[in-house]
Amino acid sequence: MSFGVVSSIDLISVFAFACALFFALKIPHNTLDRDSRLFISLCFVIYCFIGISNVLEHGQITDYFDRYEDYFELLFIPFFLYFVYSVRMQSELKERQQSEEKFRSLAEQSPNMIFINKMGRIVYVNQACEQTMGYTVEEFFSPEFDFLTLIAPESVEITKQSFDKHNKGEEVIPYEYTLIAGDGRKVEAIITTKLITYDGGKAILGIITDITERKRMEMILQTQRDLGVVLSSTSDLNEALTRMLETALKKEGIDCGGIYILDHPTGNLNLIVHKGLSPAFVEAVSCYDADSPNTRMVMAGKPIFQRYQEIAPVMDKPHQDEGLRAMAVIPVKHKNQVIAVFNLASHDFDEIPQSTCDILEVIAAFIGSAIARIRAEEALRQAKEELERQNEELKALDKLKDGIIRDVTHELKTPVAKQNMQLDILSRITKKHGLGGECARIIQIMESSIKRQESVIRNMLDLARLEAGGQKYHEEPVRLDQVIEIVLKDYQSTIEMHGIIVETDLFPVTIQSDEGMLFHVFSNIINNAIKFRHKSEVTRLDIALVKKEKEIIIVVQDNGIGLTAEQQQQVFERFYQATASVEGSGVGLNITRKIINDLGGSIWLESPGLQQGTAVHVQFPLERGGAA
Amino acid sequence: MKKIVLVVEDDNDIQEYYKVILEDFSLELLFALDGEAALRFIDSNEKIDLILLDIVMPVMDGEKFLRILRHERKLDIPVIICTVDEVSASRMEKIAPVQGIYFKLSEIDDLIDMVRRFLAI
Repeated sequence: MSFGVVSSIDLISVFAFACALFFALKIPHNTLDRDSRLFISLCFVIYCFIGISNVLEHGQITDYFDRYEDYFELLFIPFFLYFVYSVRMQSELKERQQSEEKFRSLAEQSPNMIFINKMGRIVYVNQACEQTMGYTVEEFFSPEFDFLTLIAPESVEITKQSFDKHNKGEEVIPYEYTLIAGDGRKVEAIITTKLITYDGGKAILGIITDITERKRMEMILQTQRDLGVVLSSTSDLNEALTRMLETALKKEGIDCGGIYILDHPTGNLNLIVHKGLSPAFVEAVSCYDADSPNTRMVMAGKPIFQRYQEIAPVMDKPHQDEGLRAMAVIPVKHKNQVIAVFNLASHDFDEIPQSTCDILEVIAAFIGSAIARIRAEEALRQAKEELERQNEELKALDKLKDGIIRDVTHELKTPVAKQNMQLDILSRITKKHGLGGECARIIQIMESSIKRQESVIRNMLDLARLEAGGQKYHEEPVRLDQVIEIVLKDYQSTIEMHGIIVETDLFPVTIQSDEGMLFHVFSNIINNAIKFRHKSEVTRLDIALVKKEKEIIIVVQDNGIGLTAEQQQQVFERFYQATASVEGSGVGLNITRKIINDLGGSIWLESPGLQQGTAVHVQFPLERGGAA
Repeated sequence: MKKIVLVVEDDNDIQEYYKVILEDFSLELLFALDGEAALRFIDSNEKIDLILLDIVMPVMDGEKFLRILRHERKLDIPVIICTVDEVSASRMEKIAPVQGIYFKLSEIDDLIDMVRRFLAI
């Protein structure tokens, strides 16, 4: 070996030793595997061998090892390269393992399903995948496992498109799709995928969020909205039930059904609406008696979701030919009482999906509200019609009564009027022919008699009208003092004729009352005071208003013939006459009291006794709407 | 030219009475026993200056006659309601305007005054 080569090998060796030592010191001892430790040990052996060789040579002791030294040095190079490679690989593996450990740690804690798909095969799934999809890790990783079996038929296309894009190196935006779990359950999900490098190759990292519950709530909300529209747009029970049944039949896993309503008097269940059932089946199940097993099952109030074959044995009229496979029997309640039943069935499914069951229960609640609301509306409408009918009858009766009163008035008063007219003609004739004296006296008596007759008839008719409720009061603010003054004015000629002294103590006071009726009342009272005056004395009439906190009292005091205590009790009774000789029907005070009472007031008489005058007290409340 | 007064009254005695009390005013009095007869007078183009109208009559009563006269024929011939019933009279006033109300039991001068006033005699 030439000197140059030997020197180069020496230099490389020195450098290599230095590096080896550097690495050996730098690398933590516990991170080195068995090969590395062997290699480092070998380096030391070589180094020590060369060192000893050199010491022996340079100390001119011996060159015994010198010939082997170069071979050792040559051996070192491949050892060193292997060492560097080994350390690097070891480091990368460690990093990857740490990275994967971190990923797994995060992925396993995630509530979302996380998977890695490499070349069409599942190479990683987290626990959420196992729990949600119902497959074990081993099943997922099995070479026979086709991940497309997890995808619902309606979502296969979009999934394939997504994979194609990833295969071309393109990214895919998140999308919604439907998975099918190991137990056949559908899982609504949103998937986000990303291209990654996994185990040195391209792979797809997928994160799946289960939105089944969200979708279910959305569907319930949507159904509630649809049903709300149905309910608000119709008042016809059959139409509302038909539309709710149609809404239900759009849901997955059912294709036919009907709604029964409980007949209250009999307790029978009567089929009101149905869809998707054969006429023979409908005929067979159109009514269930109150004591039938079917009705008893419904009245228990619990929803039943079962295979038809499981329910059929407990039913009254199982109809096997219809080919029903799954059935839902949902009692419809209102205020905790079963009022109907919502039956749905499937010709295709053995089990109605849970999401559909949930929706059906929501629809059943709406059916309960619809039946209750429409029945209430119907009852209201009937009550309104009945009220209107009664109102019409009352109006007709009112009209009839008015007509009768009018005719009776006419029949009673017309003969009197005719007598009056004939008497007027007679009076004219007697005047024309100068027949005064006895004729005039007779005519005057007849006139007086007619007036009394007219007064009696008027009072009788007033009473009849008041008792028949024919008298309508028109209440408004009325100046009570002015009413009394006007009545006195009306009686002015009579007052003057009989020399009556009238004293008044009035002040402005307004009450809520019927002015016309008040004229009637006070005319009657003043007329009585004049009628029952003491013939031998000067008649005095004192009229005063007395205002109290919440009432006004009108006192009409006369010095007339007065009343005994017994008469005071009886005077308001109909047809009572204290003095038979005085004209009148005996109903005047009875009518007066009726009117005063109708207007919210009261009337009473005070008399110390016969020949000692009478005080008539009329009281009206001030708070009835008027004030002084 | 005599003023024409149409007396719508089903009672002959009362018709006679009106004849007696109005004889001094040289009026032409037409007598109808009910509302229908009165409408026939009106339809025969008689120039009627005043109507004395009873309420309770057979065939067509005063209410119906007044409603047809005012609302269908749209005629404003002055009308004095002659009645014994105040309630019916006030109901008539609600159907259509009338020019006066005479209560058959009150003073006849009230009616005579109204007739003279409306006919300006």
